[in-house]
Amino acid sequence: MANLSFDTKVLIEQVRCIETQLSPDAPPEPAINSGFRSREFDDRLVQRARFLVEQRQWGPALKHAAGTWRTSIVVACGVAALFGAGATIAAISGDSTINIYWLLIVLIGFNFLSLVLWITGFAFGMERLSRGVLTLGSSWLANLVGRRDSVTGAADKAWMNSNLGGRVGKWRYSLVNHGLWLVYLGTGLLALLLALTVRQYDFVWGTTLLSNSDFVQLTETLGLTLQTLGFATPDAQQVIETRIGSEFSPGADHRYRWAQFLMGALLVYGILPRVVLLLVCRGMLRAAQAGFALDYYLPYYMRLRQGLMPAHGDSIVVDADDTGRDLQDHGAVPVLTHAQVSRIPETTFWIGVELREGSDWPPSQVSSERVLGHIIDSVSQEEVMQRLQDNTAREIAIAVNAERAPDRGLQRLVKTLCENAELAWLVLLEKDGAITSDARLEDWYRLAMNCDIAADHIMQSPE
Amino acid sequence: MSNPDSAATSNGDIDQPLLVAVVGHTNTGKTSLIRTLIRDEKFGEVQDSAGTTREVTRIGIGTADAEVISLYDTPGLEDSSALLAEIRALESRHPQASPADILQRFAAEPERHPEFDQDIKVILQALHSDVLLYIIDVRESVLGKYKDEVSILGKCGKPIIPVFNFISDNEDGLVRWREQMARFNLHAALEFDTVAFDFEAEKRLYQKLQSMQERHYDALQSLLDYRQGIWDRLCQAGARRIFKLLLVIGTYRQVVDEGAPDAVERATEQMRTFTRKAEEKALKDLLGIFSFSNTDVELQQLPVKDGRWELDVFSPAALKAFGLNAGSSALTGAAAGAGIDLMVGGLTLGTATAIGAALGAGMATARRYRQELKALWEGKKWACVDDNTVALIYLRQKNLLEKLTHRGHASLEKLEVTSARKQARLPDGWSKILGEIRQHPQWQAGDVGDADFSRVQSVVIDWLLDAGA
Repeated sequence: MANLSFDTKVLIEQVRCIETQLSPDAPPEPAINSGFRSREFDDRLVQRARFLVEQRQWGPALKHAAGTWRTSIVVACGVAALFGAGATIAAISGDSTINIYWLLIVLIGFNFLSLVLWITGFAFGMERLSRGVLTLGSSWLANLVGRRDSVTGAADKAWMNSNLGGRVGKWRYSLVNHGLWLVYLGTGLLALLLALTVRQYDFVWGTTLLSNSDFVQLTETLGLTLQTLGFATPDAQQVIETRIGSEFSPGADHRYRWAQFLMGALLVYGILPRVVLLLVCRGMLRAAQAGFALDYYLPYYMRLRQGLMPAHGDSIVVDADDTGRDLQDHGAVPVLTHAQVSRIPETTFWIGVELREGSDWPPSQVSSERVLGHIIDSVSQEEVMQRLQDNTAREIAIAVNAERAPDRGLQRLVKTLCENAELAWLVLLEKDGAITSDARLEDWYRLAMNCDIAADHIMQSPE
Repeated sequence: MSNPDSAATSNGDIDQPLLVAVVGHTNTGKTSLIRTLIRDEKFGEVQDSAGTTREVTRIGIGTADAEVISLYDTPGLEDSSALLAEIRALESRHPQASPADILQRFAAEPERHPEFDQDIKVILQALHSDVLLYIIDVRESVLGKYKDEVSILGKCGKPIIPVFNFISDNEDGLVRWREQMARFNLHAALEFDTVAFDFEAEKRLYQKLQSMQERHYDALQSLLDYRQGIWDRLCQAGARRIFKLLLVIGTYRQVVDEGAPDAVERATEQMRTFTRKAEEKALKDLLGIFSFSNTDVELQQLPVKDGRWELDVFSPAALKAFGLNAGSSALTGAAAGAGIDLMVGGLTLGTATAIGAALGAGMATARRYRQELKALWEGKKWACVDDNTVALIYLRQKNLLEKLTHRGHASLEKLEVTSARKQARLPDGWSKILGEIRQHPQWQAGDVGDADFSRVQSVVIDWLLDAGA
């Protein structure tokens, strides 16, 4: 299945769901019987799926879910952007003072928390968590759409199972999660940038529980990475001077450094991790899609395989029957009334023909001098013929197994026997408990006719 | 598949398929055998008369890429003794000619022998084939005409593989015919029973052909591998479908609305309807996977009819048929199959047979202690399918799978209901696996990448496909 793209596999799944929905009891028809472009089952599946989609015009239904998903992403991005910008603006509006660490908490704090949750979710395989806080609400969407009983509903369900379920779904949700946070932070950063450009802010920080040195330490630690990237950060003195309530009045350098610090922190501790994770998720999503496999063991696919990949070709008549002869052409078939079971006279001579082992032979009620023999091959045939002529037999009874299908050779043999006697009986020996079918009786009656044995000289005799 | 020129033998050309003619006396099951091999009951016409097949028909068997075998169905030979006499007459007139040449000569003038036109078709096809499969009905005595047939076929100069047909319950016949064929120096024979599809027999046929035709060894091997792949896939798909059925039934829960007067009975009835429907659906899928037609169902003596199980899963007879102890909860008709499940926080606490056993009885007891239990657990009460029923379903599905894959014994006589099935046993670890299944209703949706799911699934599949258990 490696050669099929993810979207193609989803298409096949959608077709499957639609077909199962529309006719749950009927097995899937091959739909295409010839004109396959490939010998591979995968390709034939695709060809069939595309054929059906075109024939039944399922195109719009198939695209419905994807479209809805895209729309909801766009809407979610819009909301995230609004939140991002809004949060920033809320945090910095009012007077022209920015409480640095408060702003950082607002912007990155929740982001950081969400990140920790996501990583925990992944590390411990907790699906709900790894979907991300923002995308939690979307699972009910799946239930909502899936309830509609229609072609679109079925196509939607299949799309969602494939795209939003399993490994693929996990990474897709993560991707969306990181993306939305990125939008949030991005717009936040943009709003901040805008505000810092056109307005003048004084940066302060305050604390009730912690001390100066704590904040100095914090700023320095956070600032380490920023400095290597070229952002200017406030030094220890400047940090202390910026505390709320200090008499020092900040200069341009102060503001500049703090602004840089702020934006750098936002970028490096907020946006950057998200960008990295976004790229990682994108890669993993691609991998998951590549690894997505259809379950070919499902009865639906098994049946389709039988239909699309026949194990044998069509049967072709190579040497036709051109004699025009027909099994039924020996004149009128005698009416199959059971012949009167007239008793066979005691002067009759008995001959067994090709009897199976275990048959009642020689017949118990017949004396042994009346038994001419049992014909199984040319040698025994010679012997019997000899005895036939020696005894100048007038009447003979030919015993055969009723269940045998009379063939031409048997017919020839019986005919030969009849020609050497004046009157012949045909006795059909039946196995215990077996009933000779009408078709079989018809065969024997026909043989009798061809050998000039009268219909009332045919007897069925249970063994 | 490619269409080769069927008139020429595939002498040294390995790309040409192997030409195999299926020959034999009339009504020995030639057409049936081909039908069984290609698993298609629409091929040819099968009637219980002589002379049904009157033409030579070719059908190709192969892999997805190429045709490996061209199989030819021929009319039956009917009067070999007379035919042999004519051929011997011809031989005496041309003492220098080889047997095959004599046959060619004979066949070249069909208008001279109008009564042998069917037989001539057979001879021509035999002369143009690589291998002959000579079908024998072992129920027949070794009559002179059959020996004559083999003599005639022997003159074609092609390798002949005798195929003993209708071997079920005909040991004596089999021995008799083996001896006879040995006298003709035909030792490599096959046994077949065209009553039932048998993948092992199909494999042996291809392997025999391999040993007879070195040149086609690789092509036949690829066919063998291909068919084996298909077969394995069929077995897997069947086992997986059964596993899914077990999931669906094991995780079924129906809340019991305790306010209603006959809540428990109604919930039980709903549960039973659900179970029966689920089993029917699975049955349909299984028959579809294995391409079993109604005829196949009858031939293989499957305990189903018209898409339904003959024995209702909730009847005591069904339980007894598998030697399961009809425990307290299953004996009384009204409560048959029902278990009561208590659920707290989404975790199940076990079914009635577990709790019932602990409490000393089935549903009646549970009902008696209901208030206490309710107070104790403060969980919700659910009707589920009890352990006995799930076990029964497992056992009879496994039995069904064995028949579908012909790994059980198929005979022409009706199987005694009690015989083979009494040996059915629940595998070790069954309760544990069932417990796990019950705890994971989300597994019904299929494999969601859960490692536990894969593990449980492969355990159950191994159980189902294990012929020994």
